[in-house]
Amino acid sequence: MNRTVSKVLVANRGEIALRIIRACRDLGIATVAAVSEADRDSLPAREADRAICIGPARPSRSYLRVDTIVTAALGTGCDAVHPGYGFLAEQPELPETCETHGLVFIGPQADTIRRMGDKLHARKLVRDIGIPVIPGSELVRDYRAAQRAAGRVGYPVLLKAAAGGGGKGMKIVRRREDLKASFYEASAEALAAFGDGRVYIEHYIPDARHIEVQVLGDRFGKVVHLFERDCSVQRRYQKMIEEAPSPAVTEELRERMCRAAVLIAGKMNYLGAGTVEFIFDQQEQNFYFLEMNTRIQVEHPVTEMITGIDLVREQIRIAAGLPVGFQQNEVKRSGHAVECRINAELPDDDFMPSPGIITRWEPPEGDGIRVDSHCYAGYEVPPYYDSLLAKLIVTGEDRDAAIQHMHRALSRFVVSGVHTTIPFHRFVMERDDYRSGRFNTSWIEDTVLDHYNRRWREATGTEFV
Amino acid sequence: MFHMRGVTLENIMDLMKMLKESGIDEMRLQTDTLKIHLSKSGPKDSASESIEPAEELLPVKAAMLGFFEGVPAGGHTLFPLIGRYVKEGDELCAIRVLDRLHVMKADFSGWIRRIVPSEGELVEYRQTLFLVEPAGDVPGGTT
Repeated sequence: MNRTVSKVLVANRGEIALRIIRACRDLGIATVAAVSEADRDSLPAREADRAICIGPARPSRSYLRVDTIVTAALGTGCDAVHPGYGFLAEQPELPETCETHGLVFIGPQADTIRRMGDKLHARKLVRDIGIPVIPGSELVRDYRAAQRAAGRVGYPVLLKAAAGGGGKGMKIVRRREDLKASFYEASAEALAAFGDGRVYIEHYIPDARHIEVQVLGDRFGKVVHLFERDCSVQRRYQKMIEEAPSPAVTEELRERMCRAAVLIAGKMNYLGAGTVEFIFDQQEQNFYFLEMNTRIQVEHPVTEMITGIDLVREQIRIAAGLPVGFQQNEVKRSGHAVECRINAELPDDDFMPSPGIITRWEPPEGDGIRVDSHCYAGYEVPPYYDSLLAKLIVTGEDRDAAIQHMHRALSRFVVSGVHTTIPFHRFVMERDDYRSGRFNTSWIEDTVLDHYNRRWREATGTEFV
Repeated sequence: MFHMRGVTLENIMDLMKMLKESGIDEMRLQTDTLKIHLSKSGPKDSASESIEPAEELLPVKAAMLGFFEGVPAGGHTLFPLIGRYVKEGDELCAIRVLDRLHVMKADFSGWIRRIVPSEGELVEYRQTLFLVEPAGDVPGGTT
């Protein structure tokens, strides 16, 4: 049951909008860029076959409006909508409304998004098929229930939002006496971020790595994996550097994780590209299901670079009713890929956002270098959205070569007009603990930031106020 | 005798008489220094002719993306047509977003001179819908 995808409305902005527009162009599919007023002159607006202004800069009145996005698709003669990541990508109302109006949604079904969006539901589904989840509780209705649950699970614990993701509504609690205050904080944060203040408790794993498996599923029930990505370099639960393959897992462990991911996706008749995230306990050498992201991810290029498979292209093909274009045993990986997220932020000042006009933009070029970006000299970084300017992805024969290559590429990346995270990434690439692959998800905050700030103070002779 | 660069009051009276007897609703005459606009419709509390310096048309822009509906479902023309005088707060048109109609109202009084989109056309956010010749002061500018 093929469905025509001949013209796609790109319901996103920035580098991912451009990535989708180019993937469509390669497939001979026309595109319409849905842009806010702040993005009227953006590169995606210019590269798409047509751009249409959907509302003011504020996302709640533009990129987050399901009714406007679907109206824009219908009015411009599109037959499909690609949500990218963020914004409406994991809002089941978008695929539902698309379906009502006869549009193809390039992503999983609304029901899958809803089931995986509820973290407790997802935990139950995964536990029921015999895949380990982090020991934890059901919903905790008040702080007393939270204390009882934490006592059972064992401190330190993590309070997490049931509707959550991305670190919002998440609190580490190390002692019983801190639980009450943290419970209220987490609940309030979750309510503000997701409109749902429900929280639950998980055991906190201190020496953890974030390892995720890329999967693809089609309408014929086929699910394949494209190996793992290691996204342990994080600050405040936000990924900074990703790589594939993970330096922390053995071949045997990799196989078990990938098999688990395929099992989970298969259980849901997963459609399109998705990512099963695991927490890997480095002490115990065990992995646990964390959550499933039902969209294309920011860090998808590292997988593309080691497998040679274009994930956005596969998303579109699957949405059009075609089968995954290859068998599991045809998915090979070669070499090593690292991605640094180049943000308009000032690392020396607690990564303060740095919007403004880019006066010089000279990304590195060459073999094994890929830059996914919507920026150019003269581009004004708007203050309304996330601060991602570019993803610098570099490959090498092995991890050492990739890191060296990344360091050189970062040194050649010239950006003026706004501050960027480039110097911080270079600092990380120079560190022995990064090079040796020995780090965990709290490594940046526990170790690296201190060293970085000290070096910055020494270099500038400045004391931070 | 009222005289201004070759246009006399008698000339204007003649024009008004011609207009009244003709099948047309309005007419305009413009020289370098004078602009005459005669209309059968218009505000009841003022004369049907106006003599005023040349003024620019102001755009009324779409407050949201959606389908332009100058003639709402049912076919009756509730909304103004070209030449019609609208008061501040009068309904101008509707914009349909999926199944919901959002009525757009005039922010200022004036004469509709041009309707830019065609019926049912998709209009973008801030796209010009109408060009309006404002009557008097324009409170707060355009939409």
